Amino acid sequence: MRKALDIALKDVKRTFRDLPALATMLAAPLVIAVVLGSAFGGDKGFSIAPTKVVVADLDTPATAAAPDSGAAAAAAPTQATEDSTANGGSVGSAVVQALTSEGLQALLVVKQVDTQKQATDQVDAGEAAVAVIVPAGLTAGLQSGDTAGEITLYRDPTKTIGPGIVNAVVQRVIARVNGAAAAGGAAAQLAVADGVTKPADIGPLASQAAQSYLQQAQARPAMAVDAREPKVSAADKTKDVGVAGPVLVGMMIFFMFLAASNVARSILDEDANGTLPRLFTTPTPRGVILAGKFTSVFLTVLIQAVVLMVAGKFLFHIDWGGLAPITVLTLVGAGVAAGFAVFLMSLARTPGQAGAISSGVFLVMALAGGNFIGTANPGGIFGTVRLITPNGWLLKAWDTTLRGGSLGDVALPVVVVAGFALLTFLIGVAVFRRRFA
Amino acid sequence: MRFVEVRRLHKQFDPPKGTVAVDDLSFGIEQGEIYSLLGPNGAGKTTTISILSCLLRPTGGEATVAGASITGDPAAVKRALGVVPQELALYPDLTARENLAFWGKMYGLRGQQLDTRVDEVLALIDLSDRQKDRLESFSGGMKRRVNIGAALLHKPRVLFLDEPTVGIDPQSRRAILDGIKDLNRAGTTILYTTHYMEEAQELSNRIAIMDHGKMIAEGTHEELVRSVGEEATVTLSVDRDLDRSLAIWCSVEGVTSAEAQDDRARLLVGDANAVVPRLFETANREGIRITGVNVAEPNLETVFLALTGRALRD
Ligand SMILES: Nc1ncnc2c1ncn2[C@@H]1O[C@H](COP(=O)(O)OP(=O)(O)OP(=O)(O)O)[C@@H](O)[C@H]1O
Ligand SMILES: [Mg+2]
Repeated sequence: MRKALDIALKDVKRTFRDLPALATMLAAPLVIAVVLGSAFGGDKGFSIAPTKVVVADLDTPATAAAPDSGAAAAAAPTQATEDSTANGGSVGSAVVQALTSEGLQALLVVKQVDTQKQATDQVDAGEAAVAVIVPAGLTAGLQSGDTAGEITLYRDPTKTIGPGIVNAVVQRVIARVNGAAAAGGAAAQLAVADGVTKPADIGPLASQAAQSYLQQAQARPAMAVDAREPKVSAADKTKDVGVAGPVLVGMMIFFMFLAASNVARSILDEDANGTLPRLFTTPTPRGVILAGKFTSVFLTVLIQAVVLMVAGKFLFHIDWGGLAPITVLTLVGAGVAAGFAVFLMSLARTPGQAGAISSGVFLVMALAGGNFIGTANPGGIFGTVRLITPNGWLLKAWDTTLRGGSLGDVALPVVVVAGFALLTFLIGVAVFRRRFA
Repeated sequence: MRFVEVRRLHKQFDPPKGTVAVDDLSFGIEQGEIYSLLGPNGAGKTTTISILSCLLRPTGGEATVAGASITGDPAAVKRALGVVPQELALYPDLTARENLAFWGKMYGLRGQQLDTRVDEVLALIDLSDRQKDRLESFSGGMKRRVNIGAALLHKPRVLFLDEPTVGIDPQSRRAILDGIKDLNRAGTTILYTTHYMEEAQELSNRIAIMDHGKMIAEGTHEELVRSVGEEATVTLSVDRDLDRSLAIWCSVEGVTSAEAQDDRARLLVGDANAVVPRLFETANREGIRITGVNVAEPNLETVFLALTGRALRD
């Protein structure tokens, strides 16, 4: 139907005009692949002059935010149990800690200042490429659950890569914190189900759950790639795949899910800002309108995947494998990302809720699926656990393809992933059709 | 049958306990007419428009638009209809032209025909020179005009406009009202909602006054005003002797009643033009100093006040 395609193309156009969205879709996976690649001790081609970053962490109490808190913060998680306002517990310190983490030291030079003005002044004066401003009271606001805070990136418009890295890192922290907020919410709900009714009792439970989620996430940081070499099992084809391909595939799949949820969220956005109701007043059947929205999700991640693969080929000389398997894998990958995104959006009432749910779920799926350790089969229980997620199956299939496997070799994962895609998509469509009937 | 026919329409949100937003509403609009729904916030204007544009299902009653039933044949209703929603419903990151082209496609226009119509509508809303700019860079009044333009591409036979002039400057408002009159002259039947009585008065052939989901009066502006009597209210302030002044004015020819209200004299008079000079003459003779005067001819505001005991605007 022409109109469905018109709707989808309109969305794709809007996405490609949205610079922050593009940075997350395209720049972030490439940059993180570079970072992870160098952590693997890979190609020499991965070298970038370090970017100067200023951080104004107004969120963490002054005592904790000493100028050299990089090292201090790294040791913080244990003490956070005692005192929830200590630096280990604040979003601000989590950002600082992530930016100063070991893997990024060659890429980012981080300096802390006390005020927002000092930070932006340094960028204006060209002394730093990007300023990260964590507003005062962000953590407290999130814990009490009544304010949605915002971390500001103030960047030198002429620099791209450095701010891109910083953006990606901050995004990750935010995803983690959103997960924590979700955990807090879940704990509060469980408590209510168990008969706890006083708000004064629920609050602490929620913040406890959020705290412990944060600590777990910190104890097991997504990028701590303990320098594991890709293990090649005897059954695998034996082509040498290098590091760039596996690493980029991991990032690509993770960011495809994020991009898909971004686009799928526009269904809720359009509902909230009136364009969806307005579409319903035109002589366009509702089914066609929803089909258009779903097509736009699929199309966007498909374009994203193709761009990333082409970039990988030219920037990192990745040999992706046979045309047939990579085409099919790209299609089912985009399909499953779109399906999951539509499904998760259908569970949310508001765009804000949708953002929190999807970034939480996709981060957990990526952690469980092994997106942050490339395509290598980690073996052991983790090798089994990851197959609960479509991410795990996709990584397994891409590993085979990168090693020169044929379409037949990836048939099982392809079928499983397509199943995931179909199931989530159908549930999502059913829910949306009912909601907008 | 009238071009738009509404019979005993009823809408309750979240029944059985929710708000009854539209309550037993009936009216008809002739082809070529401008018909206004005038009512305060929460009167049910937007809910009525949403039902008539097949966005909401009524919980009772029936309506037809251009001969098609809103429940039986919504597709036909939507083809005949252009809807300008109360809130801006556009894409801020697309240009004016792209927005219009997109909505044109949703009404089934393509290719050369679409291009021509987009050009025509851009000229109509006077934004041809800004067509390549994104909407986010537009002023409030310009966005409002695009919001209207997006409903005009397919030359609808019926146009619903839901408070299209809220929150904009007098100049843009003037342009919009004139544009609506032009569309009507070209044959478009229009249902207009507003809570500005001046707009209802200027535009409409007929006006329905709504309150709490119900229609409380309907007719031409003259009919409505006449229904509450034709007397004007003259309010006079005096520096002292209010009681004596009232007693004197009471007997002036043409004054039907006089009473004190908030330290001022409030008189009902038949023909203000003839009576007011007489009031001044008498005051002069009696040595009463008038420090302020206000003449209010009867208007829709008076009608609303007479029917509900409340002011139209809060
Ligand atoms: N989706 C909804 N759910 C529940 N109640 C609603 C909903 N939409 C409107 N209402 C209620 O219905 C009543 C009529 O609202 P409506 O928006 O139709 O008024 P209106 O005349 O358009 O007012 P305004 O001039 O402020 O736009 C109000 O009491 C409102 O609170
Ligand atoms: Mg309204």
